[in-house]
Amino acid sequence: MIELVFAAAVMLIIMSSSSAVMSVTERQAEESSRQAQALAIAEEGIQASISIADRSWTDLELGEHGLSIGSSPAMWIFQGTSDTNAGYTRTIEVSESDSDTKKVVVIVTWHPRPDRTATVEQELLLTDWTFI
Amino acid sequence: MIRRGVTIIETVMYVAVLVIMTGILLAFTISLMTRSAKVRAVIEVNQNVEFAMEKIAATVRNSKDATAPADGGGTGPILTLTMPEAAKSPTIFALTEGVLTMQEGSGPAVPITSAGARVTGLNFQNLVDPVAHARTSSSWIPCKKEEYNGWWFGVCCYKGKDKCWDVVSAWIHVFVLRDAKLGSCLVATAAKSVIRYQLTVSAPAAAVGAEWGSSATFYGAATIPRQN
Repeated sequence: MIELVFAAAVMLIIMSSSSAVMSVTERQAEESSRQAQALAIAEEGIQASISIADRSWTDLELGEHGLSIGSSPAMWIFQGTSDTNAGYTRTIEVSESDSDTKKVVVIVTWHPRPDRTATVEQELLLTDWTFI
Repeated sequence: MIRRGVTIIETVMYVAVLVIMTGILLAFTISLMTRSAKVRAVIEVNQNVEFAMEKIAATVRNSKDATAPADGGGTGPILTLTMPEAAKSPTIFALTEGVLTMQEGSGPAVPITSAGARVTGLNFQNLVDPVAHARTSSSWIPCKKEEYNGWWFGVCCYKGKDKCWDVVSAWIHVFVLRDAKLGSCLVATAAKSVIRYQLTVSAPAAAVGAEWGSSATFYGAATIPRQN
């Protein structure tokens, strides 16, 4: 009887450990999917910033911005200080690097759990070549 | 020597414990297999999405023009690109029965996502061409012209300095080009069209749980470079 109890205890320990490992793996797989979504949103922010700068250097205003697509004409514009889509909040920070160069940092945040915030960032330097 | 046997009660107890342990083990194994399938499904979806997004972006960057959706904000589930190589033109991205396909020229529509990721939504938007800035530069002067592989490249050099800029790469968004007729150098922006795309994918069955959601939408954008 004692041997049976001991064997059952060992089995339970093994099962608990395996279950814990599986939970971590599951969570990491889901998290990698969310991170991929966040990176795609950040990359879109980078492309939009390039498009705005190409249109007009002065439209690439310093400060924190959100993105929106104007209706007429349909093109990317800065609006507000951030934009939110499907639980992801994107902020585009534009700062001056030198007189002809601006640094663009796109920050995307989301909440994988209510008590936790995750962030991805992408940055880019843009130069106003029209002044050369 | 008297050997003690096993009573009926003890036998019943042993069998009962064995049955309980077997049930627990079976339930655990099923749970493990289900969760393992879920992890595999999520990984496969991620891999499919990553490949599809990169494929669309790379093809857009290598294209000359987008004919669908229409310029100026047009949207639609089909992206039609004009490619530099005639054999690959047009290149069409479309959604067919949950699979993202790519068709080059008159070739067949090739799936670029697998059965492991069901594409439930696909949308493209052709944003307005940025206004091209082009003005004659006083700082850059024509230096020389070179021919390479049938293409003519004008080289402009920065006056008084060793810096030269070739009109070669379609990847840079601003370049200096030599105007063959005027014999001067123009400073111009190179962006032409910006294609915004969104891809909604889900695992094919109930492989993923409610916490991941039934589907996920991925966003991307790529620029068609200005052509010389």
